[in-house]
Amino acid sequence: MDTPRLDDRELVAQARSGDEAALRELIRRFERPVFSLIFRLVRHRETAEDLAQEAFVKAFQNLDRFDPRYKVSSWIFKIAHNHAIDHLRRRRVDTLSIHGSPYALDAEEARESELAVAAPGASPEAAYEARELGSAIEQAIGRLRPAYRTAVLLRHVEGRAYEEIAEIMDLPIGTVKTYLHRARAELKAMLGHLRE
Amino acid sequence: MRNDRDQHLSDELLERYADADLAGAARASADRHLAACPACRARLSEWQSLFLQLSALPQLPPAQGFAERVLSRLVVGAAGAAAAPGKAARRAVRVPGWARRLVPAAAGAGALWTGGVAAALFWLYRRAGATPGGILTWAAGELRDAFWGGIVRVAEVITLSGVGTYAVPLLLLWAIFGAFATWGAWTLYRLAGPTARVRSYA
Ligand SMILES: [Zn+2]
Repeated sequence: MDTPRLDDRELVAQARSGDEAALRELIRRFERPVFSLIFRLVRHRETAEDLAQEAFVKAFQNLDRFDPRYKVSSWIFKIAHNHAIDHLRRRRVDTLSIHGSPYALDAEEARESELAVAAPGASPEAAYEARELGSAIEQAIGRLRPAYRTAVLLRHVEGRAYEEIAEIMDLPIGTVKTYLHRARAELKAMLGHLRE
Repeated sequence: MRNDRDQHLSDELLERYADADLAGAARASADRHLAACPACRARLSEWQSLFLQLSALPQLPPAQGFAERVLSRLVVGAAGAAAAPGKAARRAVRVPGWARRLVPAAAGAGALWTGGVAAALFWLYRRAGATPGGILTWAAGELRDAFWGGIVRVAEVITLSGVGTYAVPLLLLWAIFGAFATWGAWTLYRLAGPTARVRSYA
């Protein structure tokens, strides 16, 4: 079976019949976009690796529930996004339940990324993080609320259409456009501050 | 845009302009205003700078061997599901990250242990002049003895061969090593034949 030649839906059909080569090809096609999205959502490499692996395992265990009317990429992104958001929620409940503010998560993320920059010698991992997510734009993205982050990343890193982003995030298209506009306005304000 | 001169361009319009999401008359009208209005040009350049930075964001790759790690988790999950169908079938068994990273070390220990046993048997054969059959008979005899008795006999054999002072620590090390190697072998067994197990699951 010449798996690299198959399109995404054919690959899923092939994987459903238990073909390991098809599973490998699906991973090869989507590991970067899925990992990128999760990494920028959780902002910790090891956690992101773990969550991305789990997202693929989840997807592969539910291959029979894939609806061929949708794009395979949307389906995998949806599982990845939900999995990362679940993780962030669990962690917020664990650590920051007192404030209950929708921005608490973002403040925490911001502190984490500041720490990573402030103490680059603290650990090889921290230094690595600071380098990978340390640019002004990455820092600013890290301060957006997670749903805004996903919308911006799917649009600008993955180049997805509004319809697809809406499908992945289970939102109306109008809401996606609003999210994108607000997210970019926040980013512009944060980056403007840096310049002054 | 009722009047190009009187009203500045809205933030939303400038955003769409920077995103190349304006066409036709709307775009032409915006162009006219921008040509005459430095304030809106400055606001536009902020949007343009943002879009430029966003478009330069790279995809970040996972560490090498990502596919292998996904597939091994899938296999472990499938084995768990086969052993306990029903509720467990939904959820993959979680193998902690440190354990997964130790697998190659454990596999190496298993290989070393097997090699060590082979070498020891060969050494006994050469040094003590024992035939393979003789060693087997002796081992079978030892197995019939009580557990501690067996340990003492092995210690005696080692003492007689001249490495006596190291006998106890060596035996202890060997036991720990053996446990580690058994675990390695078990892991290898679980990972063997991924295709067959993935098939049974998918
Ligand atoms: Zn103006």
